[in-house]
Amino acid sequence: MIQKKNRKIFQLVLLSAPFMLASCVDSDYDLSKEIDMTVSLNGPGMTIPVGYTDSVKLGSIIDTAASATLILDDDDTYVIEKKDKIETVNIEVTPPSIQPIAPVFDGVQVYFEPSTDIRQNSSYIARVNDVSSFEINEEIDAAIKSLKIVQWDQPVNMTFTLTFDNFPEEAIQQGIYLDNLQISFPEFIQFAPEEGIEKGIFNLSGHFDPNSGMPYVRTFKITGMDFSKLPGKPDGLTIENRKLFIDRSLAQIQVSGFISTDPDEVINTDKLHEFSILPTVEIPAMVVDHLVGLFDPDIEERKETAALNLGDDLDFLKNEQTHLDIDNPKFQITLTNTVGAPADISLTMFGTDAQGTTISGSEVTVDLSGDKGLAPADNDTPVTTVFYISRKAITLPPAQDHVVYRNIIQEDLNKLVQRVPDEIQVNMRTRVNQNETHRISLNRDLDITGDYTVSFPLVFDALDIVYSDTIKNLQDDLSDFLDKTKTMELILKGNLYNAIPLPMQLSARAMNASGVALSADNVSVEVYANGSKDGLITAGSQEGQAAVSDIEIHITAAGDELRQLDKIEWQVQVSSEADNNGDITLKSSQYLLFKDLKATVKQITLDLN
Amino acid sequence: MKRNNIKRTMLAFLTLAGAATSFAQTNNSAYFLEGSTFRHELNPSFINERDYVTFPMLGNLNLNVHTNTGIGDFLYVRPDGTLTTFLSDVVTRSEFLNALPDRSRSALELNLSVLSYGFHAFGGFNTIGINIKSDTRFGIPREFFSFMKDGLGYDGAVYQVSDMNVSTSNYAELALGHARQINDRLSVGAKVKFLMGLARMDFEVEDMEITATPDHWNIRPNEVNGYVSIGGASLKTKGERNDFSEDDYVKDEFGNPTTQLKDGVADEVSLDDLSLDNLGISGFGLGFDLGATYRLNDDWCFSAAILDLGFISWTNTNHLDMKNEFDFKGFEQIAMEGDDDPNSFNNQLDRLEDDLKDLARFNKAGMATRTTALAATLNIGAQYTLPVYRPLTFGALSSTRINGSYSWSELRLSANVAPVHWFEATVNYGLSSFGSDMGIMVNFHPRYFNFFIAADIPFTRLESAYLAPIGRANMGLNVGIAFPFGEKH
Repeated sequence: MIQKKNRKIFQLVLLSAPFMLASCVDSDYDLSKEIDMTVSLNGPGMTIPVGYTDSVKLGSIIDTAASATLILDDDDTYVIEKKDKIETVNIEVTPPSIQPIAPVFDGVQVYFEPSTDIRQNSSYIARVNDVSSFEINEEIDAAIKSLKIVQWDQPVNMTFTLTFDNFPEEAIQQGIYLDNLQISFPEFIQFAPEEGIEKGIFNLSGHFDPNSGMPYVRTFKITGMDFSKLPGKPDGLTIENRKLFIDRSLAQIQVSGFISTDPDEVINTDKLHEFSILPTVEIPAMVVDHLVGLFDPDIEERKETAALNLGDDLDFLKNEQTHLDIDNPKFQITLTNTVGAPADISLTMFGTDAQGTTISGSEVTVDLSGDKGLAPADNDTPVTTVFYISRKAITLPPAQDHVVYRNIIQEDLNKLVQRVPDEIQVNMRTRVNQNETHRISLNRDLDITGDYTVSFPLVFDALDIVYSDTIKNLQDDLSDFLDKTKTMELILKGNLYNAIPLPMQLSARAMNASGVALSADNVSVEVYANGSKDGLITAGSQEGQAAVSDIEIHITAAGDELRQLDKIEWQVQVSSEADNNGDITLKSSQYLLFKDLKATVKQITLDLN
Repeated sequence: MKRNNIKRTMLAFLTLAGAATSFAQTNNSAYFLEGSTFRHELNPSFINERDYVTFPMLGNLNLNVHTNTGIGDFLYVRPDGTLTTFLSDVVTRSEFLNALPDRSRSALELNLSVLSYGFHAFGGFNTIGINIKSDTRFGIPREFFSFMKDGLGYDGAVYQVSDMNVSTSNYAELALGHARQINDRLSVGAKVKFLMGLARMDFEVEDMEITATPDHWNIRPNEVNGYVSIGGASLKTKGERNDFSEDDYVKDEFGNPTTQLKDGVADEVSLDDLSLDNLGISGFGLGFDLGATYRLNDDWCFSAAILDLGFISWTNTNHLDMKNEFDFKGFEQIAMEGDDDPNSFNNQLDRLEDDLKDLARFNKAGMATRTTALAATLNIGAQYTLPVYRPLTFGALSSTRINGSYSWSELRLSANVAPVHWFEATVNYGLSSFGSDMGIMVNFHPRYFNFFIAADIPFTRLESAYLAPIGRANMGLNVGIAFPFGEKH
């Protein structure tokens, strides 16, 4: 029998058993407190097919419409081309002029005596001999360095006068005859051809009656001066200190010869007496129309600026890291010369960056002198010279009248665009060729006009390019995700078909909104190509055959810095072999294409708190 | 605010994860308490001592929650003492997945006795009861959680999703029972139940194939069905309502809607459009309970019952199915020129999002009458009365729910005591498909008044703030007030 007391105890235990045995409160679990909502995918992850991209052609990356200086040639090759005019080079030269010349003769006293000459046996003759000289001392344009020949536009009339004073008119009433009376001028004075003149010597003949009271007057036409006729000056006069100077000793005028009476006139010898003859020569001012000599005008240096606006697409070619070895850049300069002298041109070209700083090593100097120089005008007809300055020989156009084509090989021309400058500075120094004298017309516009074309086909022997682009404003779309992601490992895999004939190295880095790179320990973007970190993406062939490379992009993030991620800067570094002999050509049809893209989420931790 | 939403979602998920089974009638703790008014719910051959009538609406209120997972399966204590989810990297996959059952199931059951009346007449004991029963169940296979924890693997996988469902069944019953003693040893009883369907909704993924490889993602709902039976409720298709949204039209290449409707969109339905203005009866059914009790001697008594043998025929059942297949092999010819191109990444992403939305849409396959069987329960009990102290008895009750994939079984051992004639109590231990629990029930039944309260307390640790079970749990609360009267039989 169970005792009554024991029964109560048993019943009490029985009733309380559920509370003692069934459950107990576990204070470790308290749903009133915060639950850490950090969730992770740490398992084998998952892979999502992403697909494939359309062909990304260079034509869409490098849009010629966005650049005023980028074109496609007939072969679909990109060409950086810039055309512009060259400011006209005006050559200001004051034509030399020679002041009027009026040498003073002393005059001669003459007396008629019977002639002993059988030919003039019945005449009386008087000998005339007088000498004078003149000086030319003119200040002329400094551009004129030597003068061989000067000529006027129209012949100048020189007036020769013989004035008779106290002529014995009572004894001689029939007048006189000039008998082989010669006036000798300096040989450098050039007369228009006419009868009786030879080498500056005029033979005057004929009857003249001094009793008329009028002097004997003759005019001669002077067309110019030939200074090479000066004794000891076969090359003409060298102009020093702007002085055109001819000493009197070199500029004498002599009048010599005889005058005689008419043989049929009976001379009253009693009435004969001395009389005087005064010769005068008057040459008016002369203005040079053209000259032969050395002509060295001070031609202002021309500084042209060719701005190469490549637009945003090709701006990376202006990066400091860029090094291009363009196979055959061309610089075409077309100049039209109205000056009858060839000119030597020195072209200095260099590139400047956006700040106007000269790009080191970009300077190229091209010598266009001598037989490579600017052709002279052809008998006052302008002649155009087209200079094709290139690194390699090119085929010149067919010849044309008054057009001269020259191909100037400048092997270092590629230096000018080893890094594409913002501007190309072209300094053109021009000097008229001084090696020989030239015939120059002065009373006309003397100038050199022209234009130039900078043409750089993007065909390379070698190049180093760093192309950067930035995916911006990630916070706008991904801030919710980035704020909650504590760790992440995402792998984007695919095959990259590269039809661009360049090996590429792809890298990337994460940046915050201010463009400051995030610590790679916290947020890293690594690119693997063909199995190697920062490996090379295989280049396509020149024939357009794409090469396939395995690409993996690993995005790894840890810590709170991921929430600052706002930009991913991609950088494509292109480094070709040293010398491809022009095998690298960029064409708009070349492309990049991603295939078999897959995104693998390897590990991710989200903070959903 | 967001954090609270996440938490609430998480807790709701933890609470409801799994699929339901069981039913709601009377707590099994009452099986061996001879003074329990609603014992006949467990075995119709049980005969009450007195006549009774219940307090309207409060005669028998039974609420059960069953889960074969607990918050401890989804929340873990970190070394620093804070809680974290199973998705945290401090929880290994084996630690999480090995603890999960093959299929996580949860059920929420409610049984409300509107009115019940029992009386002795016709040579036995008769009952009339009007009850409202609600049964909501969820089931999620372990593979689903494996997917959440593991992902798909680098090489991908093909998942065959099946046996994922959510179901709710709500009906009222009028039960008429009669039990009578055949002889001194044998009693038998039976109930006939007239059932009136109120609402039933079943959504089940019976066969959905998910192919998720690095080259191809495909979701093909081979057999995904929904059945909605709500009396008086209207579930019209978009075509019937002529109510289309922008997403229902075929998009042009830039993602802008055209005037052409997508294929099948006119047959689409959304539960958001369910009109509940004129609710009514949506079906009728019939059920039976059968039971027998055999008293071997003064000490041993054996009993058996089969409950809820029957069916409900749901009229005007909307049959919904999911037919849109999602297929994705990656974006094609992704244009890099910005959103002006129809093949830009953003435009293709928009189309992908549309495809995913289309996948999740249900179409109306038709209207039909749908007959569902009641989930039958087999109870077999044995009771031993301690000879030395006869108010003390010990019982063993085997309960088996026969309901297809929702079947479950339970063995409950109980010690019951009735120290005085107006009070009895029981403590018991149950081991079931939902884990183990301890049950207790006290039943006050002096003459003219009966109050009982029973609780199944899971044999597991409880969370400290809300006493939520950390492990799998079988929880129940059963309370009721009745008024016994008449002579004791």
